Amino acid sequence: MSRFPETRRHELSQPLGGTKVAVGFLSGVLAGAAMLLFQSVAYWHLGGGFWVPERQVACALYGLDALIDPGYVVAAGIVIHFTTSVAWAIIFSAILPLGASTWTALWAGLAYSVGVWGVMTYGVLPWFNEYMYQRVAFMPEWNLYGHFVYGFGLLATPSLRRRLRGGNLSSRRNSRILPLTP
Amino acid sequence: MKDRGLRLYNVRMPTRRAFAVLAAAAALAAAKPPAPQGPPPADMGRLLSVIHSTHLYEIELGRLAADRAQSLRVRRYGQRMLGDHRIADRKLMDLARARGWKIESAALSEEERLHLQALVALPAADFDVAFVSGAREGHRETMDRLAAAEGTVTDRAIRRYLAVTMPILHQHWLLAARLLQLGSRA
Repeated sequence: MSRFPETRRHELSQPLGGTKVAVGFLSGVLAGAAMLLFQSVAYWHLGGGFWVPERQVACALYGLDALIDPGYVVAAGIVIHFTTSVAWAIIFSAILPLGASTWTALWAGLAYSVGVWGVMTYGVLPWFNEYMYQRVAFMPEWNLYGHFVYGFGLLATPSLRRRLRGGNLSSRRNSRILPLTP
Repeated sequence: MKDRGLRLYNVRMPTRRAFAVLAAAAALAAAKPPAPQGPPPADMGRLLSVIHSTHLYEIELGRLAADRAQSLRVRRYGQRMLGDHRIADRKLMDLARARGWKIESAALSEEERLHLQALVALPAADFDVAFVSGAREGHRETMDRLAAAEGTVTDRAIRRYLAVTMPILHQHWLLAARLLQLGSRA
């Protein structure tokens, strides 16, 4: 039992705006990195080339030239990928219930990744990156697997949330609550 | 409260269980029953054999360009051709295997072999333009051939294969045209 049940209940029911964004950012970077690494290794293993996924993403900015242009397009592809990944992870962090367990986050993350895959593949790509859409249709299973890896990476959300909020709690305890203890 | 705390902070057990469930799912997905091997229907066999040999030829061309091209863009174009045709050929073979069809391993035609030899014999300075021009023409011919064959294919999976492969060939054609347009700047 917590020594300060009221305080803890109060903390758990807070909207947590900044923390949600911070957790979303961190889990987005983590899950996005896992997804990108998985896809790059998969393409390389299939004989397609390690940097093809990044170049495909960069087609959104540079068109088909991104498949043959110098390395800066790879950097641009990585930036676009992580921006998208973090944006989706912040939404996930905002909708995942407070106090959700790692197990809940795993299944929620996998279900969420299927939703992200559907929206990105059939809602976003045809409008913003037609060339990538064609290439994803060429090998759709690997794109879906990549999103599963992303969903699996979102597993870190509750743990990150606890770590970040834990820091907040202890600092508040030090500043406000400790003086009230006998 | 203590139990709740344990449930929240015990990360190891669920993660381990999750890995086990995912590994079991992956193993189930990977376990495909072996299909009996036999020849495909005559028309389909000819078509698949032509597509297979086209992929092999493009793979050889891509490999040659990835090694010999002077321009980095042309070299990357060769790598894209090599990679995409390798994947497309693997998908084709998987489709045939799933149906129990055995595709004859096609050798390069005399014309294709001569073209490859001519490219190898070219001086390095002339290689890029000759290769890209050839790739543009080659992809145009392949697209025309596949578009004509598409209407005759009744197998849905093969039709789907053609439908997703054609845009990739079109991308190769567009890239070749772009490289020729860039010319000496490429």
